[in-house]
Amino acid sequence: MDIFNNLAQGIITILTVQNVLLLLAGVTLGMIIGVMPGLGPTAGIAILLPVTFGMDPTGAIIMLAAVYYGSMYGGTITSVLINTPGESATVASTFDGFPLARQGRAGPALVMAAIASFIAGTIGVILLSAFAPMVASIARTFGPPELFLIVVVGLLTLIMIIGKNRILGILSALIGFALATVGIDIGVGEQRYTFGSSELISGIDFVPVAIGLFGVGEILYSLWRGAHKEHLDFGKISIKGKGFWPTRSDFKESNGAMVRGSFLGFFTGLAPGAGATVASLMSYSLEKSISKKPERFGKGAMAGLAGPEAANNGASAGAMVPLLTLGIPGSAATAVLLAAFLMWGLQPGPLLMEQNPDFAWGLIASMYLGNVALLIINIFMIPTFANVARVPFRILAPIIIVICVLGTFAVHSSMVEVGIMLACGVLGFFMRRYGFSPAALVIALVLGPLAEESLRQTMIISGGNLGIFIERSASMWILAVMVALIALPFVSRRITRLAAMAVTEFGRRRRGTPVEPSPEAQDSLGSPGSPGSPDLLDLSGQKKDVNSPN
Amino acid sequence: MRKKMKLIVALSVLGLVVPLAGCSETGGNATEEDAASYPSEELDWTIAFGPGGGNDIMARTLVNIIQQYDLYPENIRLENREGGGGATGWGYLLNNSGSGYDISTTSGSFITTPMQADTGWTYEDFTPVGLFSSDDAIFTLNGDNPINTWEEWVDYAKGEKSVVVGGIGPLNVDFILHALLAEAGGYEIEYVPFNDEGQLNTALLSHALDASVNNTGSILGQFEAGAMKPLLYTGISRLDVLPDVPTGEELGITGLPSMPRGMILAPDAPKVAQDWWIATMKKVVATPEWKEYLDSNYLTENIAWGDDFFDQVKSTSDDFETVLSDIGAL
Amino acid sequence: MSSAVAVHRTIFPGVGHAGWGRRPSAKTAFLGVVLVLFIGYTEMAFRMDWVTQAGRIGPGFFPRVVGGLIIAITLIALVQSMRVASEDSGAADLEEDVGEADLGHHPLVMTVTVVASGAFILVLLSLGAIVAGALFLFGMLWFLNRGRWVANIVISVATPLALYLILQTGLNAGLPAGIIPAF
Repeated sequence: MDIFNNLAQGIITILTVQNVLLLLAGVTLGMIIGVMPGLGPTAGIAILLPVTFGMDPTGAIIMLAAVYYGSMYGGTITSVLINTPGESATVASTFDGFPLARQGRAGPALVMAAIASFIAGTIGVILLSAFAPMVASIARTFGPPELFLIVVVGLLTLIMIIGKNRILGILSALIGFALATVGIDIGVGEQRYTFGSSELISGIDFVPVAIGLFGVGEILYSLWRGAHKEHLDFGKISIKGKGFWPTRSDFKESNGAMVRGSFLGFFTGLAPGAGATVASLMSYSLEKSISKKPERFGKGAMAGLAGPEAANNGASAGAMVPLLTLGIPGSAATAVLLAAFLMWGLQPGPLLMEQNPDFAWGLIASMYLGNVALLIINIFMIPTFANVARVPFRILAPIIIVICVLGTFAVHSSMVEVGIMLACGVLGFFMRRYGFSPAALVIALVLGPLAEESLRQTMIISGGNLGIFIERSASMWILAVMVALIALPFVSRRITRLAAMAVTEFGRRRRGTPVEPSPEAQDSLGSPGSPGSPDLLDLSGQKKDVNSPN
Repeated sequence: MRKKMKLIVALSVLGLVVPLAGCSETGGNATEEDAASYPSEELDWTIAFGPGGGNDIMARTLVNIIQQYDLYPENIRLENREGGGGATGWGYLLNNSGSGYDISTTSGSFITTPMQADTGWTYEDFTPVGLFSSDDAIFTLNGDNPINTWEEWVDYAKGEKSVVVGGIGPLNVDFILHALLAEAGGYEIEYVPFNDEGQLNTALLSHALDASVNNTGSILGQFEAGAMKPLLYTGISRLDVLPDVPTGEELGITGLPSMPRGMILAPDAPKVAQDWWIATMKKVVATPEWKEYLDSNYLTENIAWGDDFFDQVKSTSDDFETVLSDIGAL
Repeated sequence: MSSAVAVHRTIFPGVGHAGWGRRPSAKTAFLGVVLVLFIGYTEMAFRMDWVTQAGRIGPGFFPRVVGGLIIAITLIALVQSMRVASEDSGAADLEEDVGEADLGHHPLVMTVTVVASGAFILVLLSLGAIVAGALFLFGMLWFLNRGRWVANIVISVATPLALYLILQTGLNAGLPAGIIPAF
């Protein structure tokens, strides 16, 4: 296998003492940056870019890839521990990660997130190595119509997230859309809702809103509820401690979620724009919809953390495909990497991998080794982070507010954004208090502009004709997948019922006695090899009757 | 050791500034800054765009060169104040009027943003340091398009009711380029604005667009691979790397604008600061590192100092205004 | 889960529940504010073009759709919240508190925190990240964690200092130095 030779070669090339040190330094620095609210992978790479000027391209890319992974994982740490996602891709990790931490299971949650990231990284790198050219030809068909459809899929997943109160959930999402319309409109450059403020021209950024709604809002809500009077007693968390490692049932619950999330993430990550965010949301709603215990989601289901984490990491491997094979960045972080390529005198484009194989495979290999380093470092660092949960809330609360304020300020040095952050903190309190969905608001804020832009671009391209979605084969495929996704919960229920009926019927005829569907009959559905299981693709009661041995 | 170095550098810079300040007495600008003591404070360097963009890279390259040659004795604070097509960052400079320690780099938005938004400033408000280079664009088609020359393209486009073209930003240089080219060719366009280059490029590759204009540096790889093909270069002379691609002027299309990449100080900056920076930047643009930056990013060197810089900006700005009001966008 | 809700109601019958009686509940008031804000939003949307000159989707299209939907849904939510009186206003948030000690409601503590954070932000630029952060922390800890002077002072000084060292000194990410010289 040529490709795996290349990958192995890449790994061997970069395994020098200096490079391994760079790798470890990058992962650690990245984690520190990612833990700061507001600073994510993009900021991390941009901040450390100048540091890499003096290095050779391979050393530099190793360091930056490590920073990329480290800061993504850093964002997960804050999502789990203080309910504050550092970037939109880790919003989904707060849904179950934070409840887990509140139950005193921060250690297992963080370990599981690291394992999920590692597995997704592994699957992603294998997919990237094996299918890069093929996948590139898919990625190059994603124009504005396709992007619009993918964003719509992401928005549809909101339905799974908004929880019990549908009306307030939808209202939360709509408020997010409304906030997203602030700023210069991409179509004709008109200013909307800026009230003459030059700070609002670029719109309301995701970061202060998310830090406010989740971070500060959570603090205010907990204070209102009296958490500062609580005397919580979590045991000390250490690697040797029993409560540190995920339990066997955690793994059992998460294994499938991690694998599904990895694949989902990788393929969604190919689309430029919303990749990782949409992927993590899709994974969350997928896991919730196929889970046997959907009611546990949002209350600390391990699969609800492992799936999105894997999808998020899979998407960052996916985003590397258009970058390496087409020279097209799929996310803000990869755009900064592209700029770095130029600075090192590399020509991004379809020939990058052919002309600079050492570099390209070195990058892929360092992505993989970055994952390994992350896993190892994490196992040692997580106890430190997880012990944050042991600090009494009355001390932790003001500290988190200081971190949120300074973190928000550090992003753009903008006082207006710090003000927006605090205002969103108060809004977040009321939203929590009255059963709104802050997550739906934040996601709508991220995806709203993408949806509007890509729809308007599509309409200019098609001359106002909606038929463009079925004229382009790529968008037709996405439409078909979308319809299937929407139909799946209904159809699967029907299929299960029909199948159960068919099996019952089958059994009844065999035994010649009418019986209700028995647990055994239900169970046999799960094992395709068993004689009673019907062919799900070939489902009709009559047909079974005809074929039945009677 | 390091302190000693800094001292030496500061002294040598001082030696440079004193005679300079001597000739600028007539500047008239009331100088709170003592000529001999500039620069004595931390420099606040605003990048009006996000990390990774052309403007960001240029600013970081400049700062690197300045630090490498120890040209600025104090600390330099580099800050991305992005948003509103530069409105936020240059607005920050406006708020620090009169300061000699607030500096920024320019791009095409420096001209177009004030035209479309009420930013409270135009380029004329700032203190010019100099223009270093200009950023030109390439008119690009999908690689599998049978059209190979500009003439063929015009023939094809005239035959259509309108062609779909794309670029970055709603009313930016890209749009003006497309409008001017369409006017010269006598065809109609539907312009699709994009927010970033990745989406623009996939739109072209996925056949959603008929044509686009692109930055040279990031698009060359597409040409080499045959995924896209260049038809026209908007610069003054042909690019070394693309010797077969004609310029607009060769095809009889004149007055195509380019993005001015220069440097400005806050409005009403002290004359001594302006002079110090002009002298310093003259050294920076002579370094091999700067030449390497121009080469690797395929930028055209275009140097003008002080008011000459803004004269060039003014002529570009007037062109833009004519085009935009012709098509009723203003 | 339901038992926790029930317990809560028996212990705190007056908080956000029946005790409000005929008066509009706090939730209704909140929805009212949302409604007023978005009537204004929609009104502004109708002043933008909803199609461009070329007949494509204009800048006003999305705001109109979003604004209209928000008004409609807020009205439904308002009617619901008034009809069920204050029955469910506390229920939504209680769901997530299941299993936690019920410590009552502390609006005063929350308000003090919001006001203190506002003050912290106001003096952030003039005093600088370290001083403003230390003052805010010390004030809040004095309020929440009384009597532990030494610990409070150490935390107040160490936290902003550490953040400053990481963000400003280490990453050059830009925090205001204020009255202390930058380092």
